[in-house]
Parts: sequence; structure tokens; C-alpha cells
Amino acid sequence: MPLNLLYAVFIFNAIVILGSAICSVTARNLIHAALWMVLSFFSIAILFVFMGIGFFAVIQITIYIGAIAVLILFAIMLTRRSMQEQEDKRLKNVWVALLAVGGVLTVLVMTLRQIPIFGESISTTQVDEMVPALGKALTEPAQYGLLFELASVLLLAALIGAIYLAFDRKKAEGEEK
Amino acid sequence: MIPFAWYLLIAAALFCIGLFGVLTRRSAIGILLGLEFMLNAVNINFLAFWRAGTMQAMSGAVFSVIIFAVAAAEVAVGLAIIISVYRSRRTVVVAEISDLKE
Repeated sequence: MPLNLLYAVFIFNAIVILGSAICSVTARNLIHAALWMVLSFFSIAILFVFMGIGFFAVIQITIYIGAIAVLILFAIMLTRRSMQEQEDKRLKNVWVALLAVGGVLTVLVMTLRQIPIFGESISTTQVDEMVPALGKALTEPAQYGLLFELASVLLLAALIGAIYLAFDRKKAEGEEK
Repeated sequence: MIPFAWYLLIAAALFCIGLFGVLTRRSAIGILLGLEFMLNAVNINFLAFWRAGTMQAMSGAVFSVIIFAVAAAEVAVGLAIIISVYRSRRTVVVAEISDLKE
């Protein structure tokens, strides 16, 4: 692919990411916000393809869009009645938030400029040979095996915790009687 | 070849957009939505730095995988708490859920 075309596609994708993210955090209707979020996550997956790590693009789509976005959509629909009365109200303290966000952005950009490799480029060639290495690093006890086990315990705890929290105790007892 | 700086700037901007969402949303679900953007921005940073290096050390990719797992766990527990609160209070507006403060 010629370089100019590559840049054009990349910049278009970046605009889609940031634009849909802005639409998502400012949308009045929460369902619209969640759908904008899905578009933004999909464009981030394309960003991973640009980095040459297609494996992470697939993970991004399956976990963020397939699991997290769908879960959020479910929660929005389950709690819809509460938000419908609130819908005409605008976002709260926008100016304070803009000030805080501007401050964080300035500090971030100033810090990032200090990084020695800031001016370099990343190649877009796919590096699929790193997937087996990643699998080995995750399961090898000498490397990140402990972290992997901790993540699985965390997921189990989250599973049990979510079931416990969402379980309607009064209703279940009423049905038993 | 894409300049490394572009990835970092996109991630920084995305983090700030997420922060804006967390600060301005009224409903707890909206705040969780902003949090997801912040987590994703961190993920882009991890992977960009990992890709910019020699890729011999797997730490960047491993941490990004862990962030995926933590984000999934966080959203599952967070939404369970929100639904549980909604059941007893009939609201998801964080300003109205202040029982621990009083």
C-alpha cells in the first residue's frame, strides 16, 4: 500500500475512534451512547491491525464488543425506567470537567514528548509469530504463570460475585413458600 | 510505517474523553462506559510501546491480556451492583445513591 493512502486510512480511523468516543460520552440517550461505544471499540481493533498485531484486534472484538458492550446494553435496558425521567437533564458540571480533562491532556502530552523513542515509527507488518510466544509466556511458571492464575481466580470471583449480587433473595424465598 | 507518536496521542485523547464521561455522567452505567474508554486507552499504550520495542520481552502483551480480563470482571461486578441497587432504590443516578454518606 502506498504510504500516503496508508496515512489517509489511519487518520480517518483515528477520527472515527475519537469522534464516536466523544459522541458516546455526550449522547443523551444511553442506548445511543452504548452503540457509539461499539463503533469506537471496532475502530480501535482496526488500530491494532495497523500495529501488526491482528491477534489483539480479534480479542478486542470478542471481549469488548462481544461481551462488555452487550452486557452494558443489557444493563441499560434493565434499568431503563429510571433514566427516562432523567433524559431531559443535561450532563452535570461540564465546565469543571473540561478544565480537569484539559489539564490531564496537557500533562500527558508534555510527558509523552519526553520519551526518547517519540519520533520513531512502527511498522505495519503482521507479527503473527508472537502468538505462540505470548501463550508460552502466560503459562510458564518462571514468567507470568502466577499472573495468569491470579487472573483466572479474579474471573471466578467476579462470576460468583455477580451471581450473588444480582440474585433476588426476597423473591427466591417467596417462591419457596 | 506509522509514526509512534500518533498512537500515543490517540490513546491520550481517548483517555481524556473517557475521563470527561466519568466526570459528567449522571447515571452509574454512563460512568462505567467512560471507564471502559479509559481502560482501552491504556491498552493501546501498552501494545504500542510493546510493538515499538524489540518484542522479545512479552510483558506489554501479557499486561494487555490481563487488562482485558480485569475489564471483563469489572464490568460484570459493576453492572451486577447497579442492577442490585436499581432493584432496591429504583434509580441508577449516582447523586441519589448516597446512603453511606448520610
